[in-house]
Amino acid sequence: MNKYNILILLNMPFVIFGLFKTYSLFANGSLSRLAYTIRTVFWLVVAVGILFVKPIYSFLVYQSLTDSPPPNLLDIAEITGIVLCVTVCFRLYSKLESAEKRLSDLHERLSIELSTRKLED
Amino acid sequence: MSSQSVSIGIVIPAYNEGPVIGEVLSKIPRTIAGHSVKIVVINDGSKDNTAAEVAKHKDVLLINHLLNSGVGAATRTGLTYAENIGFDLVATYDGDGQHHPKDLVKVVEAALDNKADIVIGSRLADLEGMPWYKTIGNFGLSTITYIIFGSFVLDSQSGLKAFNKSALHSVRFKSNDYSFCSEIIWRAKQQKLSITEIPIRAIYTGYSTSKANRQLKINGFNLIGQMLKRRLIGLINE
Repeated sequence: MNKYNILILLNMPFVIFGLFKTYSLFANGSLSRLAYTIRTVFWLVVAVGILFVKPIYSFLVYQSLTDSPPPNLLDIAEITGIVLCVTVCFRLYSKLESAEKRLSDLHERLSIELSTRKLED
Repeated sequence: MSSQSVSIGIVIPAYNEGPVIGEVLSKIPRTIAGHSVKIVVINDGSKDNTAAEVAKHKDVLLINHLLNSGVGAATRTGLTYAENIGFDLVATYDGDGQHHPKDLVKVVEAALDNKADIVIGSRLADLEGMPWYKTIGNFGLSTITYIIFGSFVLDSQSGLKAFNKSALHSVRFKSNDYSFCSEIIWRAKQQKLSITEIPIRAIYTGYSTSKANRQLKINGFNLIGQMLKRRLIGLINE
């Protein structure tokens, strides 16, 4: 199989997942329009980069902007790893933010509840 | 607003303020413009006798944070409590004795007169007595707040602020540390709330100066980092 097709095959599921997740967060009101736009543009740029690796590489060589050899299978594995890391980072950050908020809400509520109960006693 | 009876809450976040909190509480007026004032102290997990000192004042409500969470978290707890109680107007006030009770009255009266949804007591509008490095530092932080959040007030880090009911209900901030002051201004802008500033004069006692210097050494750059982090998270995650 062509290595560029392998790149697309390995990475596009992450991009589609990223776009889908961004839309679902926006649809349920968890994301503002600005954050939705920034995330969507980010994933679209990644998608364009993955779908058009060959023409982009040829363009860069033609313009003398790179003299590196064409991507090999190891490069493709590395790119896949980076895209996977970005996907995981987005997920983790969202979960961390939500956990932090829940924890601080819980602390706040507990502190108020216990202090007012002590006052009533 | 001032013709009817208005319930006013004063929220004081306190962390290890044992040496001065008693005096601060004694000086706060219990009525402003004929309206009764209720004081709420949030003891943010102090290791000293702050809670015991506050408990001596029977008319003061004491909320004890189970864990030390930062001045932003303590202020948020106070504002949430004030909202639950149903105060019509809430002011935040520093527990280290750097504010003059007369300035509290000025700020609350401006809020009672509906001058804006949020009234900030600005230490930079009256520079007399303020050390030059504090003037530069505070103005610098206000400028950085403007660059990061796009909303300018002269003294973004002032602890003396008054919120009317709609501001209290709609301003939701997430910062637990000192960057909450800047975040409040940003959230107010997002909610299209009006902000005005009233000149106040900070009192620099040996206690408040040494505490502020200690915090500045620890928090100076952290504060800017926290503001940037909050803004970037806001861009991709909110």
